[in-house]
Amino acid sequence: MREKFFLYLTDDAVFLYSESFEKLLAFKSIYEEAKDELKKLVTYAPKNHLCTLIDRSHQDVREEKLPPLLPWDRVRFLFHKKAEWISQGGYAGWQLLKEKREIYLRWVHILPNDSLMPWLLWAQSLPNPWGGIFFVSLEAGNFMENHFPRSTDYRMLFYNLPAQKPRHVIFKGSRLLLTRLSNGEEDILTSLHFLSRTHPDIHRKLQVLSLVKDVSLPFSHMTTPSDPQAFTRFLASQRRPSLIIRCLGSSKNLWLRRGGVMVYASLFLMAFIAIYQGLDFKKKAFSFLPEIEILKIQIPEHQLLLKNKNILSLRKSVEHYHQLKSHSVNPLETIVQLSILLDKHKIRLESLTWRKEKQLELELTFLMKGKAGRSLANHFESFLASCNEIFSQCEVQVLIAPFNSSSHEIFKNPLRTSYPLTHIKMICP
Amino acid sequence: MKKEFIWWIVFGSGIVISFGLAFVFRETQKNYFNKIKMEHHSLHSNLKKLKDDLAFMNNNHEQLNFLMEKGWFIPKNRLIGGEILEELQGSLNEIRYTFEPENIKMIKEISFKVTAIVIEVGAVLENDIYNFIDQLLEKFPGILIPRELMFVREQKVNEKNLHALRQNEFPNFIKGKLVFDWVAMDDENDKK
Repeated sequence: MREKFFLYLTDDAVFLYSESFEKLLAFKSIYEEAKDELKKLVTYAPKNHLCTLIDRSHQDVREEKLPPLLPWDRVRFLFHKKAEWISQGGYAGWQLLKEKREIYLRWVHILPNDSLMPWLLWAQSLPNPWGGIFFVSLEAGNFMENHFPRSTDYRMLFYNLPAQKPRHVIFKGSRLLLTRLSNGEEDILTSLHFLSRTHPDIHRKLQVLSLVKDVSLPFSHMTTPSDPQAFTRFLASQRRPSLIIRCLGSSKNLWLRRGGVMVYASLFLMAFIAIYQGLDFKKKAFSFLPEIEILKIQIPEHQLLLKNKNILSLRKSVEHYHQLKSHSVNPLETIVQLSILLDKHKIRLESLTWRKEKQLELELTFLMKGKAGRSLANHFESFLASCNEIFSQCEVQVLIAPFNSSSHEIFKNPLRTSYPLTHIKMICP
Repeated sequence: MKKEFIWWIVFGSGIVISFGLAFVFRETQKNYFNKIKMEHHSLHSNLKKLKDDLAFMNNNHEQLNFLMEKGWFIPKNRLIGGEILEELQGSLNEIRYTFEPENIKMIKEISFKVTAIVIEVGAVLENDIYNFIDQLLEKFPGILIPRELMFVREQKVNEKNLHALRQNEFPNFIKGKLVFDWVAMDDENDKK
């Protein structure tokens, strides 16, 4: 369990208590001397937490009822409120309370010119771990919740810390109504009278918890715990204050802090995106793995089937063979066509030449028997017509016409006794 | 203030380190993903190619066997070619053949090994020569491309010839000169 020092700050004095609320030092007004003495004592046990207790007549904790606003407008209201505190500096903190469907803003703002400021800054500058700033009046509210049911409307705690004057604090539900020094019964009655103007039923519904034995109070609904140190023990046991206040710092620091937060937030966001992307890549990569395993099994099976086979070479071979085939012509097909032509005209060839270079060339030599004069000319004309019909794609050239009767040849009479020789050439693309 | 500053430094360092680690994690996973993706793509392409090759082999099985038999990849010995020519002589009266030296010939921008075969034949009827050509194109152990065929009627039908026929002496009424290109694949095409 951590040891603590309690720096108790009131309107006109400063006290230092030990963990067991034993008064260690007390100073009134002479703060500079007090700081030196306190520092000596506190730094003597540098591992002890230093908690600051604030208990002033001046009501540091303020509450105001918020108008019924939309959430966005409420955020804007709080933003402006905070901006106002920041512009003024000092220490500030806030929290929202909901009481009977009404929302209240509880806030504390200790201005830089407040007498508390030097103490708070000094306390935080000490090497001891910081235990937080506790407002005794607020902690009293929590303390009373252990002694009264939550349904109780008005609750008052009458207490005094060791070597302190008695004080009273009044709550309505969880709202803090008032906290004052109690020099006597009159002060409490005055407080109640003051509050009865806005809370007329306070006298009837007030429950009182008194921790001050030597002062008698005129209340019928009053409880007195058996342990008068119960409240101090409660304070000592608190780990966190009910309302946390922080130093607002300068506007330069504020912008630095905001900038830092922005940078960190950006880095955090980018880190988050990077992790998300990394996980996405990982997921995608894993999705490929089963398929890769299947492929790794299938590929060797196929490779085994194609073992010792140069497929590229085979493909080229087949391709080249087809190209060659497209280039070549079967001469027997031409001869079959030619036989049709020759049968039709009852011609017997003397010679036949079939040649295939770039083009197909066909040369025929034959004798035209039993024909003469006009009959021979007609027969030859008919033969040429048949050539054009059967070899429609080919160009027919007459190299030697029968009896040299073409216009470019010498035609002589009388006729020779031998049969007329004909030499035809056909060029097919 | 000092404590807060330390917290800023610690928290900031933590975030920066986290960012660095996250970035490294992302890059590692990205590289791994790219590697896996490339491997997958490579294996997929490989398998597709193998499947294509198998399909090619199945579809062209008969043709490849035919080309193998015809010595398309490795030309067969000329002695075998000559032997086949003599076997196919059949009803031809005479046959003389010449295998010229092998040349490289370009046909449609593809180079082939070409051996010209000049065959001189003599027969009673031209049908004997046509049958010989038909058989030769089918049975010759190589791919033959006819280049030039020449047929000439040599002898007239007369009593002397008919008498000789009666004595089973077959005159050469038709003589032919057949020129074929024996074509095989040139290995240089593969190197290209």
